[in-house]
Amino acid sequence: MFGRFAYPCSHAGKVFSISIERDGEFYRYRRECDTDRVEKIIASAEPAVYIHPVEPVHLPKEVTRFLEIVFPPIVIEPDSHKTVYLTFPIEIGVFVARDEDYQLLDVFSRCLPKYSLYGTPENGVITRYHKSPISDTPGNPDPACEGVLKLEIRNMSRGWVEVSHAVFESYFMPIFYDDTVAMSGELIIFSKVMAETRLSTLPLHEGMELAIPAIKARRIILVDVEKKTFLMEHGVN
Amino acid sequence: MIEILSTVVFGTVTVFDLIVFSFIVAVSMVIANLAGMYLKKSLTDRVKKDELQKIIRIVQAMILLIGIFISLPSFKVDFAELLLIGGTAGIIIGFASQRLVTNVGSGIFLIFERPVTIGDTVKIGETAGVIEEIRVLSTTIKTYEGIYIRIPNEKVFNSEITNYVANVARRFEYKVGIRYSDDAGKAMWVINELLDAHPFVLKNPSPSVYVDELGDNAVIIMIRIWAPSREWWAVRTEMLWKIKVALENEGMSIPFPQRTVWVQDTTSSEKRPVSSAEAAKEGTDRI
Repeated sequence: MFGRFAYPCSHAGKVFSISIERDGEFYRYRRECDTDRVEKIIASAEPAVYIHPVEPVHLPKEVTRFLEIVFPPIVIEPDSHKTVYLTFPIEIGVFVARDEDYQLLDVFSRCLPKYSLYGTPENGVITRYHKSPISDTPGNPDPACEGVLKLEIRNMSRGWVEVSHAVFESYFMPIFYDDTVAMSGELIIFSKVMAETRLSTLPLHEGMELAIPAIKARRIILVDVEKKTFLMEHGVN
Repeated sequence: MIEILSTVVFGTVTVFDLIVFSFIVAVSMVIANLAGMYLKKSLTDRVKKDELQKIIRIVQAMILLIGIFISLPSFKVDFAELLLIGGTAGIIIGFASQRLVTNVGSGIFLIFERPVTIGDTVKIGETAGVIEEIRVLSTTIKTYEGIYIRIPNEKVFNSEITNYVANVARRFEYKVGIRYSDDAGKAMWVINELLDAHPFVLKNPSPSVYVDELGDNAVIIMIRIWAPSREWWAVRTEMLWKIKVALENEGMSIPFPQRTVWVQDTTSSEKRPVSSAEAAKEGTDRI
């Protein structure tokens, strides 16, 4: 489902259908996903598109860069760590490229997007909301809709902590894919109200490809250290 | 020609010095403009619009200042004297243009305090709209009707400022009336389903839907919704109609005001409400 596709080409799957056909001097891009249809004209010398999973913050309109995953509460003992598997929503990005210069042509998803607020209206952030089950194995979510997030929860505090939220920064969100889509990350808990999340550049397992980050297409090249982590100052439950 | 160039204009400054000064300043202005255009082209999609404007202004001002400093030796300027003259002139100008100075001061405070930024939807005094530009002397607003309004910074600083997007989320509400014969529980369920399906109706703080009032003509359902500040108006305009249509699809309708008129039958001691049919028969109207 994901990868590099030379065009003219067409793909009609259960989830979505894409076709890129020659139309005179140009190529005509058509995409259908559920009832959503998009048609665009491509004027490019490089006859290939990349279909990759992208950071789930684009639909229906980009209003935030944060992803909030809410899962059934898990109680962690002091000075311990536990690896859990969650799911995260997937948006599918179609890129055109020329010499490492990527342009996001289209983004679509089968997941119904929902947004939320983490923190207060004054100091909080708008987040893309996703409710996930929690498991000690990766599971097998629908790759067209959800990916697997391997999350290591480390309780550095002196007390027991109940965790049910994790907020991630999408400016640094390495997403990997093969037959499944996956990310790895950690949630470091400092106290009941303070934690930090960061995503890892390591794939869930060997052989997975790194997806093109949509941020690359937006040419926001400088992702500073601060933006590679997110400080959860409004609690983890 | 050389004689004209060496003509003294004032002090030791000659026409040639003035030409050199004007030329260097003009060149630095051109360079500043080119630098501004270059920065605009290269940073537009990387930096926020208001930040970009600040960066461009700072760079342009620095280029211009460098140009002036380069050209000053042509005037044979003594910097100590310049500071003294400048300071004295500053005081005189300050007294002579108090309003101007007040506006500049207010502008500086506005830039540092940042109660509003470019692109914010605001109400300043009686003027509502979107902030287009914040300058040292004035702030410009584009009203919702697309009209350009320039407000002196002194007025902005002293006015009540309502910034509709300062907080990331905001709440709005609807009151929807249904008939007494309709199932209010079902109506609330239908509305909740609708709110749940909309991406920008925030999950947290969750929307609240409840019977707020047993009105004269309708059961009033209150709907309170939180939405991202930048999207609230779109959500507000979209959801009201969707709620109306969804309730009608479930057989519920928004009632019209009703009034029951009691007619005194003089031949009978009982009072009774008159239905439309009876009213027609008896020659009276039920309103």
